[in-house]
Amino acid sequence: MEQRSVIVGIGHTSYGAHPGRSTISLKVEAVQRALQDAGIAKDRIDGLFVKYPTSRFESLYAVKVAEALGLEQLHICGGWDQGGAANISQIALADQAIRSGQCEVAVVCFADNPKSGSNWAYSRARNEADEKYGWLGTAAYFALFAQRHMALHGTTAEDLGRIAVQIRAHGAQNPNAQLRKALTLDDYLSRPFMVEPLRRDDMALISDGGAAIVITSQKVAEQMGGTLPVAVLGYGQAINATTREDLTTTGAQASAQRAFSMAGLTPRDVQLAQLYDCFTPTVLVTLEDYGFCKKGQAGHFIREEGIGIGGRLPLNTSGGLLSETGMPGMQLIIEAVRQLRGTANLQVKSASNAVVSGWGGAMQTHSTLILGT
Amino acid sequence: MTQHTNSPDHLAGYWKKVGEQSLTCMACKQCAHHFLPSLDACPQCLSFDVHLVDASGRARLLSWVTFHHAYRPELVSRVPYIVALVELEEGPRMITNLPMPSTGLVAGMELTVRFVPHGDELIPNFEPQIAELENGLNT
Repeated sequence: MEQRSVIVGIGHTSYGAHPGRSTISLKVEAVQRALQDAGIAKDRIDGLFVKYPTSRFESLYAVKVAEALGLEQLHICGGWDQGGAANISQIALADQAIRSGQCEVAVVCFADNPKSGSNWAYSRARNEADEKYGWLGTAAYFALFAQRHMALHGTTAEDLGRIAVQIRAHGAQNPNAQLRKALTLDDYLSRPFMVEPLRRDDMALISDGGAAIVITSQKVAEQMGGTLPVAVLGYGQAINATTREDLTTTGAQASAQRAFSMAGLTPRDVQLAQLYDCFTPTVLVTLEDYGFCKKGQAGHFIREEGIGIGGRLPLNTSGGLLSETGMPGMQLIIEAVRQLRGTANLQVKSASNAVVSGWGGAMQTHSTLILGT
Repeated sequence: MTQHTNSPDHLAGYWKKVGEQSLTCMACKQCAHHFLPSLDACPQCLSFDVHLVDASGRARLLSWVTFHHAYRPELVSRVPYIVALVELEEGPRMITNLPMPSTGLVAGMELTVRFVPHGDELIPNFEPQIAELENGLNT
């Protein structure tokens, strides 16, 4: 395999509420921290990839971020429109740009402020007809998927609950997490439904915050000689319609196959995962479509194999979207990097690879990233 | 030959027919693909030679959710309500409502369209065929 790109810097703002802060201000703070972490001067950045905020679409947004960062000599700059799959896809784009010589040091960043600002994006109707049926919000799509999974595969409320309980347990021990409150399965089951079969504890937090990573070539990383570089081993992406032929099988399958093939790994080799948990059912389907278990078996896998720190596949070790921050995905990438550096808060012993996933929209877009040392 | 005319307003036509208590879906005259929501070109063969055709009103239940949370103040009096994804006999899938309660609903069960008032218009809803509901309750 040719030279791999490496992640050399990670940075984020505090998670929670940032009243009055613009998304650009949050991004500048995150990028400043990521550069500091990388030990690299701002002027070295010649590639910038920006996922626009979920709460407000804005054209030429990446250019505005570049201006706020005082970056006027970029060789490549833009944004990729895939919702929560975009952060990983932009790391893939940055890798391609670096390896083809289009840029040398790239920053991938995201920020949003739906907690202090508008959370309209999470409760809207997609069109006029949906409004008439009361088909509102993002959660309902995932509830619809979960119900089908329950009907076809016998998945239970307890199966969903165990995902929330484990991820919340990780978040409860993360000093940076927005929600540091552990949850028992009994607590979970006693809460009312929001959109049945989902409860509030099945759903991502609403959060303000920004996060950034710095990615470059192995050669530049060696010259810099900073912290342990984390290599981009593989990636893939896929889109699929909201009304897939089989609702319970998704684009995650094709996305992961490409990523595993590029990395030369199989699900069996994977030591830890950071799976996009905007709603608990996405964890179920990702475990199945990635091949960690067979279709319909994710509940069993979680129960029998374990997704905690000592389990077969420790996942969302800093609390994910359910507990660390509701930010759509950058926190998962950052936690995977911390785990592979050996600097995570809840460290998985001698981890040398990690899988990260991203979902966008109502599971129409998917992106997979495999990192390693 | 296919005429590329100005986009006919299939969506308006769909809702006009609903007002007349008739359910329709889009059909392509070139490849016979049936689809919803309304588009002015066939997503299968990309022909613009598409039109609304009557649907039988029979469908199968794919999945459903129950909204207990009212996302809008005007929905407070409506919760809990069921939203379902159904597959029409002709193939297209659509979002719709089913009557409460959700007890006895089973994936794959047969449904029939009925038209219910929504403000001063009608919307298509579906309900389980009585025999299906009894089967569901027994399983």
